[in-house]
Amino acid sequence: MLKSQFDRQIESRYLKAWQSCYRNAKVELHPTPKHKGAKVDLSKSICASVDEFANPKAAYRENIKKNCNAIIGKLRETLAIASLEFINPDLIVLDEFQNSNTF
Amino acid sequence: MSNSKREIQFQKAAVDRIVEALHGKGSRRFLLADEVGLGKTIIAAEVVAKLFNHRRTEKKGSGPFKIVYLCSSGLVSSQNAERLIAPIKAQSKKADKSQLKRLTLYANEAKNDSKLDAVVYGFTPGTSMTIGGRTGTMDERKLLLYLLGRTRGWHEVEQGVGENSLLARWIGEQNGSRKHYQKC
Repeated sequence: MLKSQFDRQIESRYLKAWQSCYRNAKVELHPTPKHKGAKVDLSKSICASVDEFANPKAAYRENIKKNCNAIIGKLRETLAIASLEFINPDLIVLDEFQNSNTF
Repeated sequence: MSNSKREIQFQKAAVDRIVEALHGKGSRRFLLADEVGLGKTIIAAEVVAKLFNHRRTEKKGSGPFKIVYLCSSGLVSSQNAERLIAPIKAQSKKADKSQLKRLTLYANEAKNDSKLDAVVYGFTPGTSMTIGGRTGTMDERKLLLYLLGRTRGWHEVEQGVGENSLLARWIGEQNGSRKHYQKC
């Protein structure tokens, strides 16, 4: 269902742009039995976190939860970056940027 | 001369100067840093309208006029983006009628957007970029699952959507939406 829905909508150029962002992305994780608590490749972190989330050890439950959110946040970031590279805008407006430390 | 008339002249001068800078061959960047209340958003909306008209004249039929609107606050973003595109909406029946589109969902909507005259894609780093507890909208999560499936293989994604898994939590079990993903 998901595949047929998006196959019609997503251009292969966008898929390639996203894959490039995804493969180069790194995510900072908290220490757990499977992670040392350092910056790791996003693509590698997903497999380990999927297993860990399914069977969390009580002592690491909080860190596993934080790692899960960090991975999801990073995945969303790859979406935003791929879109920015792909969109080719006519105009970019930066507003209220004095209030942000992310710009 | 009344204050309002002086303001209109001052805003018009700013609009002309910005359009000249953005439309010329120089750096094509402009910093507008007026005091609060002097109408920066009004000036920006006029600039958008003028650039839209230039583009419509010069590159007819080359897809929508695309604006990326980056703002540190989601609230300010939704208010101002609507004001930015208002002059275009007044000119064009095909300008996007929705308030603001999520930049993260551009790929999902690009084909539909190509029929429009103008679109504003909003991007709020506080909600889109921060690595934290925010897990995005359902549409973002669906798109990511699809992209992961195309990249890592559908079998792996289906495993990830199983009971108690990372992606199941992410999809949001409260509304029973997990069923939707179990057959990718």
